[in-house]
Amino acid sequence: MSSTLQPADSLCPHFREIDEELLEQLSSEVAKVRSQKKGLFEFTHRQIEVFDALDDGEETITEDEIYETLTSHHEGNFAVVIEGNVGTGKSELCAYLSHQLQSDDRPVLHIGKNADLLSIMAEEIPNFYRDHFEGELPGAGNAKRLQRHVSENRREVARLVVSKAALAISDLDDTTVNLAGEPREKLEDFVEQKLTAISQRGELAEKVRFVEPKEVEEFSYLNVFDTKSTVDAAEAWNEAIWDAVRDEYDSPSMDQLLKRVGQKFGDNRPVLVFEDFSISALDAEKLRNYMEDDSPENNWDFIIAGTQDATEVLHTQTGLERHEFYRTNRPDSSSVLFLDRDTCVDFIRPFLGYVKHLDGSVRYERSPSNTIVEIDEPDPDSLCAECGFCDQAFRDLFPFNEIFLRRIYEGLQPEDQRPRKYVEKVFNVLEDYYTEIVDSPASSDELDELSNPLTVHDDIYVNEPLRRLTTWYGTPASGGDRLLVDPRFATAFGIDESVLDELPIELEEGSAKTDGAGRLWSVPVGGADTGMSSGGTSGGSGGSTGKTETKSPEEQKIIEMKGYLDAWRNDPSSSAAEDLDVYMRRGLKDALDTLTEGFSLHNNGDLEYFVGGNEEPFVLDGHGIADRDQVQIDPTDFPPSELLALLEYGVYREMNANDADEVAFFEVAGTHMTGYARKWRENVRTTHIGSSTNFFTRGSSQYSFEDLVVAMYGMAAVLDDPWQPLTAERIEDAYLGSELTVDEDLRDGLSNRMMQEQLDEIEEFMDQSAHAESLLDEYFAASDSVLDRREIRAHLESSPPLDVLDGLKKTGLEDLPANLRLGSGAQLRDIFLTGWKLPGIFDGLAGDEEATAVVELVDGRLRGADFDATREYIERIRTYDDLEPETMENLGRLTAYREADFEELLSACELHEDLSTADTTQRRLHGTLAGLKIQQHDLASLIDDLELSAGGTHAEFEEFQELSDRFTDLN
Amino acid sequence: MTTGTLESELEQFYHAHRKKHLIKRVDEATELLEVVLLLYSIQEILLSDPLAPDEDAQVAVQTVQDAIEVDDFQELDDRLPEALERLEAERDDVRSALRRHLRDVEDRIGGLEALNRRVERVEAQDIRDLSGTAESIMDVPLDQDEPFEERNRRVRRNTRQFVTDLKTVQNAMFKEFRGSDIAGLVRALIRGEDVKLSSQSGEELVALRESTFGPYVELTLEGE
Repeated sequence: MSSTLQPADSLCPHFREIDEELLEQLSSEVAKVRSQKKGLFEFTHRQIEVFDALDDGEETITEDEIYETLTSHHEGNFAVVIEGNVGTGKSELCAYLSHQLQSDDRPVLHIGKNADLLSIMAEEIPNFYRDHFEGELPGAGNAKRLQRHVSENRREVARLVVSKAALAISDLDDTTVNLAGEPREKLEDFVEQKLTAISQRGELAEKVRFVEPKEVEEFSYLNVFDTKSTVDAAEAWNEAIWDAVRDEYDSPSMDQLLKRVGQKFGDNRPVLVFEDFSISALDAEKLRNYMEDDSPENNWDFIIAGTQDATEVLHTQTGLERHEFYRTNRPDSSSVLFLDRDTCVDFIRPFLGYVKHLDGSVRYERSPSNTIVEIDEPDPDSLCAECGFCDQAFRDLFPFNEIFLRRIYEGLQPEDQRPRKYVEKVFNVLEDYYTEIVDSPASSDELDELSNPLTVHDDIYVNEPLRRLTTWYGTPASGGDRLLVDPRFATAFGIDESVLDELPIELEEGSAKTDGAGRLWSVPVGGADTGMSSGGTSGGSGGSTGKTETKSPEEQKIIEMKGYLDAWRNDPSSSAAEDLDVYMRRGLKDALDTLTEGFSLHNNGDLEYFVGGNEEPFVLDGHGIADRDQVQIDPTDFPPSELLALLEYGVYREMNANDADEVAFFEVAGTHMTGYARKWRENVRTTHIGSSTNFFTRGSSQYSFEDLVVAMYGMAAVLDDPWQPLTAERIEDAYLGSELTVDEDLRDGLSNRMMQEQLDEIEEFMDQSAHAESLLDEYFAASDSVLDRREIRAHLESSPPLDVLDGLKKTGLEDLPANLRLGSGAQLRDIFLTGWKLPGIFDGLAGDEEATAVVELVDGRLRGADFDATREYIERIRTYDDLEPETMENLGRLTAYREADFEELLSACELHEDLSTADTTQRRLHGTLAGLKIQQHDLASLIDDLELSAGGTHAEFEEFQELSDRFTDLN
Repeated sequence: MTTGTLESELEQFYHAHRKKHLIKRVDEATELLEVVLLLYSIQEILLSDPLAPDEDAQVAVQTVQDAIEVDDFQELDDRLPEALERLEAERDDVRSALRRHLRDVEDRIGGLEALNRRVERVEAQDIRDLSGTAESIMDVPLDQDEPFEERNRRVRRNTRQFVTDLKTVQNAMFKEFRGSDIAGLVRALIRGEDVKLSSQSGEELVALRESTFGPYVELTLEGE
């Protein structure tokens, strides 16, 4: 962020000079860090109250009462056990007790959460000893040596330990240990890894053990027991390995070390604080036994914190009798006694005030329990006194105010309403502010995860900085229809008062509490019609306030949902946005539906990708990878105005679809949504249509979807009329003509060659040709009645239809999603599967010569024959009434045909001849089909059947000659 | 199966068929020629003044013959009808002439038969045979298995035989009257001529009345 307007044109002077480390300490999730800085800890610590862990009642115990139990007399060791969920103040309480005990000069060994077992034994306990006594703690050297070996020669340690442990295990009853070769190496690997775990602390609150029960199940080399349960088996391994370690290094267990240390202190009982007891899991039982030991020579006080899981081991009969058990949170939630809606501001106050406290700007008066009771005026020399921007109402809290901080707390999910999460959230927002990522804390996207149901007038809503300022800093006015905003916050975060001119914000006199604020900004909440009319200027009569019109359920829903838009934009799956998400998704889906014309793949196209009621054509960012049929949508790409429009559209679509104002929505978000619609189409087309492997076998990957469309329709055109050459022109004629059906003569011809089943499959293919036609239209229509012939020609030439269909991959087609279909509901896979069958049906037919004889005869008889002359001979012949009746009849039938019929038949013969010897199967098959039709054709049959034999016509005129000679010679 | 275009096949078929058709017509003409020539043979023997062949028919037949010689089937086709027509006419003309002559002959035979019933000069059967032959003599034989010349010879022979037989019967009948007053009258009667009583002399009439013709003459007169 570049230019920021902060108080007096700069950041708050305190944040300008902030020590980032200090802020980190303030917000640190580990109380120990704060506890190391006593002043800071004391300033920020708030008295903690806990429950009695062994009592189901609501009785509470203060930290001071706990402290008292530690100062009273105990025979032998004594322990205070603090149980509680993560982040509920256990460490804070430990730190408080630590500080108090140290103040009383008690020796305190404080083991933080990040400690590891070996460091405790090799460093922390010996160092503690050294701090209080001369010399070295006996046995500590061995622990140190172990620590060194583990850190430097872990593999060797593992090897030594495994040998010993394996032998120890084999000594037990009912075991079959045979560790040699690979299993042994695996066990060594395993132990080596575990040694790392006890020397380097990993995850918090995780028990550190060598072997977990589930690992016994998982790794066969650990499962060497005949009868033990996995729990017992794991325990046996843990003991065997840990004993082997200690035996090897002659290292004492922790309880032994502590015993040695404790005895040196005598009456001044030392205190051991364990912030996380799970660290000691390996020695937990030994330690517990030691803690329960009430022999007079033992004098340790233990403060043990941990989750219930880690401290369970302490719940023995003796332990429950001897020790005190407390619990920080309520049994069924993470909420704690010292932090709730009422106390949250005072809880966080010292954390924020600490920065300003150092120079005397902020000074608190506190009760004996450290609770802040009053805020004093700043020290005259302090930064606050000098700056003078803030007033008492928010000076220590700036850049927040009370309502903001309360909203943060209330905005947390119930399970997160615990100290650590709350402090974390406030400081994350603060960090965004002082690192100038945002102009105003209200603009931090950290807030988007929170639930804040406040909404404002739409005109204000779309002004994001102003909206955020209003909904986080604004105080609800009585009546609930307005938010009152202290204009100083606007000034502080760079929002100029001139915005009021254009927005329905009124100025209102503040209360006594906001003295110094001048007139407050009174901002209408809810939708566009709330409060005053849109576009109203300040200074109006104000009489309209309180005039409430009845709102439709949709309007009410929009107002209700609006407040969660930021949360949704930040994370649509956040529980705060759960309800809103439904409407937003509905809006997105319906908008894409409209813009893609019902999820069609092309404008005005018939091909669509059906998106079912439960399916969505998009995936929101962060919710997985977009599927092949989805577009990735990033909610943060939507500016507030679009989000609001989307919400309104979605709510109407969901609740009362007919009243949804689509035009209004697209006016605002049309460009944006169109982009997604285009992307969606591209995605679906690319993944489903564009990928050759979806349709074709590997060897036919050169073919495209367009080839397939041309091939399907082209073959249908051939079957519809095999006498026409397959050209782009023929395809266009077929496209413009009536529905394609198998030519009747061809069908008769085929029926002599095929089984009914195959004929049915051809018919089925033809039925699908209507669908192929709509695809042709979609991919090749240049205008209403013209196809792009050039394009079609190119496909026909490069990709012979039969070859294309032959290259289809059945499994690929079957895998095409059912969603991929035409407007009629016909699925693409069904359409193309009929095409896939075709080459099989015609297999072997290409080049078939059965029809050739007929074709050659017909061709021979017609080629070169003059129609008129032929006709003339027929007429002349028919004048003789002594013809064979059959010949007479056939000649009579011939006269019924026109010259065009003869020409058509002749060109069919030529086509057959031309194609039958062609080099592609496509053409040869076409030739054969043309031949089959010729064979069955009436005129061709007639010509084929025509017998023109006049019989023997040898003339014997001798007798006539002789007699006529005689006759003519007579006188 | 013949090859060639439909046109040429039809052409060939047409020509072949026309030829076949013409052969049949020429056969008809041949048959007519046979009939005519045979009738000529009969008339030549029977008639003292046989008809000469019709020149137009000869010309028509000649044109047909010419067409056949040059294999001009079209010409043949064109000419045949006239030839056939003229031959038929010639046949009919000859038949008519013959029929006229034979009617006279049959009359004479009838006279002979009547006379013979009175005079019983010859066997009645011989006269009946003559009558049968006269009736059938124009039925010329057209049996194709027998060569024309054979048939022609037979027709001539039969015709001549007929003439001879007739003469024989006449002579036998006439022998009684030879040298008598009514010899001329009987001859005329036999010839079938009209006998006019007014033109007869008294002697002739007496001789007739006393002869075996008496009742016949009376009857005849009464009959007129």
